[in-house]
This record gives sequence, structure tokens and C-alpha cells, in this order.
Amino acid sequence: MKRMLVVAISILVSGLLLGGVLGWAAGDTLVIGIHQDVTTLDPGNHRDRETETVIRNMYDGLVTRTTDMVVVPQLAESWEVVSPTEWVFHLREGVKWHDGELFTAEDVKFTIDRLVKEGMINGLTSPRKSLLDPVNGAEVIDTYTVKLTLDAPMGHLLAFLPFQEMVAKHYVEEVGDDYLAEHPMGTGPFKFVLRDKGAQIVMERFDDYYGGSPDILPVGPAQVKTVIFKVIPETSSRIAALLAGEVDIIEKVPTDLMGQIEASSNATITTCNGTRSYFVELNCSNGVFTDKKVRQAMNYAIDMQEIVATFYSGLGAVIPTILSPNAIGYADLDPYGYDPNKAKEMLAEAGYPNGFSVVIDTEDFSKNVAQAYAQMLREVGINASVQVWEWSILKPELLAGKRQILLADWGNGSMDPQGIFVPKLGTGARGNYTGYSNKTLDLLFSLSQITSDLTEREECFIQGQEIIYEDCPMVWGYVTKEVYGVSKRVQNWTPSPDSRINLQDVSVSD
Amino acid sequence: MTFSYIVRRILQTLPVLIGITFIVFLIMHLTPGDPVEIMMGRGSVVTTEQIEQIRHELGLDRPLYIQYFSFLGGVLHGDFGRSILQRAPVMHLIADRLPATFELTIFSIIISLIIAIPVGVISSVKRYSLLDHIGTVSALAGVSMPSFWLGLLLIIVFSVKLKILPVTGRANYGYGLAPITNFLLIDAVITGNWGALGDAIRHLLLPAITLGSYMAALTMRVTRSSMLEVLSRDYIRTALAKGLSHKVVILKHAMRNALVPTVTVVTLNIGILLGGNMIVESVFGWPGLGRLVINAVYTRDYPLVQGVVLIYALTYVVMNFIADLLYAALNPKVRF
Repeated sequence: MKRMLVVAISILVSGLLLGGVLGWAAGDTLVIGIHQDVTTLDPGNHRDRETETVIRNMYDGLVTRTTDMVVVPQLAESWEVVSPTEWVFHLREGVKWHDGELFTAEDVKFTIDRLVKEGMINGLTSPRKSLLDPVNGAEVIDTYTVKLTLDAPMGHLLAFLPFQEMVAKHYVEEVGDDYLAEHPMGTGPFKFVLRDKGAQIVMERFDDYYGGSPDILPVGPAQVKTVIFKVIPETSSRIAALLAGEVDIIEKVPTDLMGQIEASSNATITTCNGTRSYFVELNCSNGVFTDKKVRQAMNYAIDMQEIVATFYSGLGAVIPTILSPNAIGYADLDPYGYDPNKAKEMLAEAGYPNGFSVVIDTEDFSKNVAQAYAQMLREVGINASVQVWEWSILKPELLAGKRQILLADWGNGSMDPQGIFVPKLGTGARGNYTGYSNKTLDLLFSLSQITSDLTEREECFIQGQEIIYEDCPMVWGYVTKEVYGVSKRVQNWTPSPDSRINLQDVSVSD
Repeated sequence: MTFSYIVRRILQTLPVLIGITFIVFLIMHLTPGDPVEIMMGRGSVVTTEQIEQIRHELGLDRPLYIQYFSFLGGVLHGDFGRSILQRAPVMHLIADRLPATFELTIFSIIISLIIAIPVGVISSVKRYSLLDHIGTVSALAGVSMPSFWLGLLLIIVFSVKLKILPVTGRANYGYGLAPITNFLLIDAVITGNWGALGDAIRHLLLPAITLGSYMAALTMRVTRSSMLEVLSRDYIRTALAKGLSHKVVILKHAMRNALVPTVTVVTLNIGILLGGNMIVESVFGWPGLGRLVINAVYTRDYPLVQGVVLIYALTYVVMNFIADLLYAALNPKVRF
């Protein structure tokens, strides 16, 4: 016993003494604190935002996006739409994989086929297949030209390509899918070093990098030598790690804890609009909300500014319809605004001078916001109450048109209306819980899918927003901001509205 | 201790393990939520047909009893299936996390025993002394402090203010430690990488203290009360009357007998510590099994949950077995 004690204590002491200098973030190292681990390192085998955020620093796509959400060339230099179902991409020449081999059209074909054809990854279909629907494959035209073939027109193809990262055919064929998932090898600015599952992913600068998109400056190899993504699930610990100087950038800072970072001498808060829109869905297919006037009155009855101020410390933007101000084709309309008297008048005109009774459906995490809505509705004479549901039970009720008001939100990382506008408001669309149907709108959606011309597509969506702004199938809400804590030693990093953290151009100063 | 006893014990554990897999399987499938919908994300670009196709590929559209027996059949062949979300073999995912969990648990037990047993023994010998009172108050604090709170407090003091210990993780990058067993302390010692050893210990200290505080408090109290009981026995008085020194009597005669209840508490708590350290793992970003299984439950990753729970159950059963063996070693009167 005594000997054990002595041994244990001496190990402890020697360990501490021999440890030497602590490994705090050093001059050529950038450390990012993320809130959950990646699910895999295979870019074709996940549907997870965090995974994309990490992987995108080791892999490039045919195209990428600026922090203003403009799609720009990356591994592809240019492209042309030969027909609505055939897109030809001209690839950058001389791009090297991390193992030194050259990137060619064969790799693009391999990657695209791996994503869209069935049973391509360990006998299973890629969970990313639906992101590229209706792309059915790719054909090699020559070493640096590749054609994507589609079953139907896909006007929004470019908006969904930035996060389809290219994998190397020769590498995957040699090492297999399971090995790729643990040892990624791409053409990106950083190459993989190691992953301690659940703890950290380490990358080092790829010195032979071709420089990335010519539209995102500076073009060239990454600024820092080493990048470490540290997994810190607990919010308070993530903030402590930033304040202790152990990490340089942290994500998902709750608004009520921002003060701790603002008060510190070595870090600041940076925000940008998030990808998620919040709104209140009204049942347009039966009940009181079939009357457009009642739906418009609802838009005047709820004070969205107050909701953003109270529940998000003001870190959000009230939006006129469903699209984020950062989305393409955003129509700059004036939000309805809070006007309870007008709401009462309109309700009286619609035949409800004494209001009506209604239940607001919500899930547990947003019940407080739902209570606030109910209170505001009661003030204009609508007898509103709140019911909290489990989503898997609520969803079939919604699709059957049995509910009246739903507190809801929808994330759209693509920043293209195709990812939110069409699925939420198209007739019979998969996320359409309001039962809203408008033939003109459907026609505009079809047009937007047929054309690949961005201006034409934007025009379709702007007209579409004017229609729904008037029709009010929902009470239009807000987008919230993503809050990051950033060490003052970090230079040239701007958060992106699609919530990715790209580190090629970021540097650190000591 | 006979060979037949060991065989009997091992056979007894089989129905326990099968029962646990069945209950966990049932609970997971009765809980609302669909793993494929969760994997694809709410409001993501996917149609119902595409979700159905993925469910079909994963075999989730088969009747429950077929899914269960297929899982059980796999386990008998050493195949725990693939994680739905991470899409990697469950065995690999568990193997990656197991060393971290064991390392933290064992280290925290060592720390707590180093503190608890001497304090417990001294408290009993010098009953109602100042040290006994301090021990009592610390034990009360150790049992009552939530590990979440204690962990954050230690982080604020030792990492944010004093900057002497790291907030999160298991090791810093840059020590070039070659993985052999994936137990960092062992690997560092084997390869003589003292920098990595110090680094690993510094990362272990705060989570181990947080995790071990409850155990230390419990062990301290159990040791104290069982020592008090033993010290009042006739054979202790006899030993003292023989003229043996106090030290010999306490360390050789009393402690050996008093440690039997302590062994029970410690071994059974190892099982609890292994399964119950997800909070500590979250606070300190420790890459252990607890976080793996919690995420698996949230995402309804059935194969992963079943795999981890089976490992937990197995550990618990083994720990019980070891406790029985230790009784016999400590007390020759115990025979199986």
C-alpha cells in the first residue's frame, strides 16, 4: 500500500515537473473550439453542418462561396449550361492532391457518381444524394473537362455545389471507404494530420496549394501552419477555453453569456446572420385562417421586434417574408410591423370583432416564445393557448391539416430559396404544413428550376415573395444571429452566414 | 475458488447481458424519433421517399424482432453493426473511446483512494479531532457538490485565472506520442516520452478530481466507519495487549479487515463512474464513452447505443466478479 502510494505520488509530481511549457495556442497555430465532433471525415457520407465546417478546410469543391454568399469558381475555372440537363465544367489545371497527384476530370466523375448513384459507399447510398437531386452522374470529356448530367433541369445546381467536396479517385479506390473516413486526402489549403475522436482534429498547411478561388483574396497557401479544431461540447467550458487563451475562435455563444467575453481583455464578440428563419405557420386549408384578412391581422398582432429583443438580446433581424436577407433573390419589402389596433380592426372586418379561440402548437425548446405570442394575441382579442408537442407525434397531425397555428423554423444552409421557399410554400411540398397553395407561385418555382440564369431566378423569387407577402400564409418572423467569440490575436476572419469556418486566409498575431 | 465457480459465474452473466440488450433495444425503439430523419436534419433537402430508401438500406424497415435477432446474431459473431449517423463500425467507435474513459476512471479512483483511505483511517483513529472534523466536512462537500459545478469552478481557478492546467481535451498536439495502447499514460511511459506524460497528466488532473470527488467522499466515510467498528473488536485489543505497536495493529490487523466494505464500495462505483461520467466528459471535452453514448441516444443511433450499453454492462459484471475475488483475497474466511 505504502509503496503504491509513493509510486503514484512520484508519477504525479514527475509528470507535472517534466511537462514543461503548456501547449497554449502559439503564433503559427490557430485553434477553433467547436461544439460537437464531426460524424466522419468522408465528405460524401454525412449530412452534418459541423462536419462540413471542418472538412471544407481540407477539401475544395468545384465552386465555393464568398462570405456574401456569392458562388465563385474554385476547382472549376468556368462552366457552361449546354442544355438544361447538361452542365459542363472546365477544371483548373495543375491542382495537386495532398499526395502530389494531379486533380483531373476523373476525380470529379468519381466524386459525383459516388454521391448520386445508389450503394456507392460501403454498399450504402450517400446521404448527400438528395442535395444533388436530380443530378444522375458525370461524364469525363477530357482530362480537364467534365459534364454533369441531370434527369431534370436544376436551376439551383450552383447553390448546392459549394459543399460537395471533391475526393481523389486513385486514393479512395486504393484505401477504401472506411479508411477515407478516418484519413481524408483532398486538394484543400490544409492537409490532415490526426484526429483524436471526440477531442480534436489537427491539420497542417498544404504548401503546394494552388491558392484557392481567384475571387477570394488573398490567393495562395494558408496563412497559419497548423489548425486544430477542438471539440468542446459544454458552452461554459468553450468560453473558458477562449478566455484562457487555449482556443482562438469559438462558435455558438449564447446571447446571455456574451458579456463574459466582452468583459475580457483578450477576446471579442463577432456576429453574423444565421441560416435559420423563424416564423408562425397558419393553417390555410381549413378553419379561421382560410380568410386572408385574418392572416394579415395576425401579422400586425405580433411584435417580432420585441421577441428578438427579449429572447435573443436583440441579436436578430425581423424579415418581411421567409427568406434571410443574405439569401439570393431576397426581396427588400417592409416587414408588417406591430400594430395591434389595425389587427383588431381587420379582425372585426373579417367578422371576428370578439376574436376566436386558437391553440399554438410548439415543441418544448420554443415554448417560452410561444407563450409570448399567445399573450400578444390575447391583447388583440384572440383567445390563444399553447400546446407543447413531441415532433414525431405533431408532424402527421400537421400534414393532415388538423392543427391551426405552428411555431416553426427552417434552416437553409444553401442560402438559395430552393432550400426553404420552395419546400415550405410550394403546393404539397414536403415542408408545407400550412396547406398553402398558389398556382402563380408554383409556376414561378417551376420557372426558377428550369432556368440557370441567376438574374432570372432571382426575379422569379422576388415576384414569389411579393405574392406571399400579400397572402400571409405565415406570420413572418426573423432570422437570428450566430454569435462567435474571437481572440484578439485572430486576423482577417469574417464569420459566414452559412455558418462555415474557412481558415485559409486567417492569420494570428502575438 | 474453483474453476467450476468461475465457469458458473460466467454462465450466469449471459442471461443478464441478453436481458440488458433486449431492454435497451425495446426502450430505444419505443422512444419517439427516427434516426434517419435526425441524420438528415430537420428542414433539409430530402424527400420522404429518399428517407424511406435510406431506412430500407439500413434495415430499419424490417419488423422489430427481426432487427433484434439480427443484432444479437451479429454480436455473437463479434459484429456490433454500423453506426447510423457516423456510418462506421460500432466496434471501432467504441475502441477509440474506451481507453480515454478507462484512463480517466482509473486515474480518478487512484486520486480519490490516495486521499480517502489515509484520511478515513486517521479520522477513525483520531476520532473527533480537528482532522476528523475537516474530513467530515470535506466528505459532505464532496458528496453534495454537483460535478458540473465543481468542474467549472476548477476550470475558472486553474485554467482561466492561474493558467496552469488546460481546460479541455486529453492531450495537446505536438508531443509526437506514438499510439500503442491508446492509454496515453502507458504509451508515454513505454516510449519514454516524458513531455507527453506530463501533458497527459495535466489534462487528467481536473477531470479526475471532479469525477473522483464523490468517490473520495464516499470511500472516506465508509473507511472511517468500518475502521471504527474493527478498532472496537476484541482481537485488536488482544493485539495491543500483546504489546504490538499501534502502527502495526492499525495497518496490519485493523486495516486489512476494515477494507472489505471499502472494496465493495470502490468496485461497484467503478461501474457507476464508467457509466456516469458523461457530465465530466462534456465539461472537460474528454473524448470518452459517456459522450459517445449520450450523442447516440439523442440521435437515436440504435446500433451504437446497444453496443456501448453492452460494454457498460459487461464492465459492471466484471467489476462485480473482481469484487468477489478481492473479498477472498482480503478475508481468507470467504471461500467460493
